[in-house]
Amino acid sequence: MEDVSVIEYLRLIKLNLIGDKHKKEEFTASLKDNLSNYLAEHPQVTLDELFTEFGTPEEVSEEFAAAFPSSSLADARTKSWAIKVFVAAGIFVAAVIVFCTIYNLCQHEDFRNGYYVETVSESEMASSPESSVEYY
Amino acid sequence: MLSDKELAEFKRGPLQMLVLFLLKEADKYGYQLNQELKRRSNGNFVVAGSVLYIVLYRLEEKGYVSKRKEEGVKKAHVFYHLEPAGEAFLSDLLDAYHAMSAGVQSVIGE
Repeated sequence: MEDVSVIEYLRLIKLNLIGDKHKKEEFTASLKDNLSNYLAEHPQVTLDELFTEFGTPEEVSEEFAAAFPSSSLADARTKSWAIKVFVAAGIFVAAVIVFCTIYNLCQHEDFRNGYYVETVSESEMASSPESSVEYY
Repeated sequence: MLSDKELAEFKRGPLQMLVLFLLKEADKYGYQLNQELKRRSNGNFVVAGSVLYIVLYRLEEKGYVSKRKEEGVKKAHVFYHLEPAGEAFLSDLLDAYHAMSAGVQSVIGE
């Protein structure tokens, strides 16, 4: 059974780590194994003792970022850009759908009122006057 | 006096060399490595456990070390083993360290 302090320590480490998801998972799995080894020799370890022996979550996060700098920054930038593009595309598509729906509703509204309004230019009236007025 | 952060940054350089050197002698588990580092440096090279495990993870990723689980009396231990590529890397690091150390000595004159 894992010690509560170890579980809490790992939770805080995972929360603070920044970088490649796969690397973070592998590292925390490896850290968990090594913490279990430590726990076997120090069964009553406290969270403060773990901070002293293994480093605070902030220290670990800094060392991890220093060890894997380009991947963490590149990942963060790529993810941020992808999210922005996705959100912008989503807003655009939603706006188009809303506009088309409103336009369509307006058209149907006119039909329900018993008439349909069509704007005809003078040249069209001149070319075919019989089609300029339609009765419903 | 250097801050903890500044000291940690300064130690980052030789740490992987020392880890590989200790593993060359025998396979060790993480906590054992840290304790040996502290003992043999007479307390002058003390690093947080997680820092050591980040170095070990990086060395494993590069293929310089491998790890295996061994069932112990109380619990399974994860032992780290130096691979041939790691041994070659250690040799290069030691050469670079000796050259750099000589260079630093000649600059600071101590």
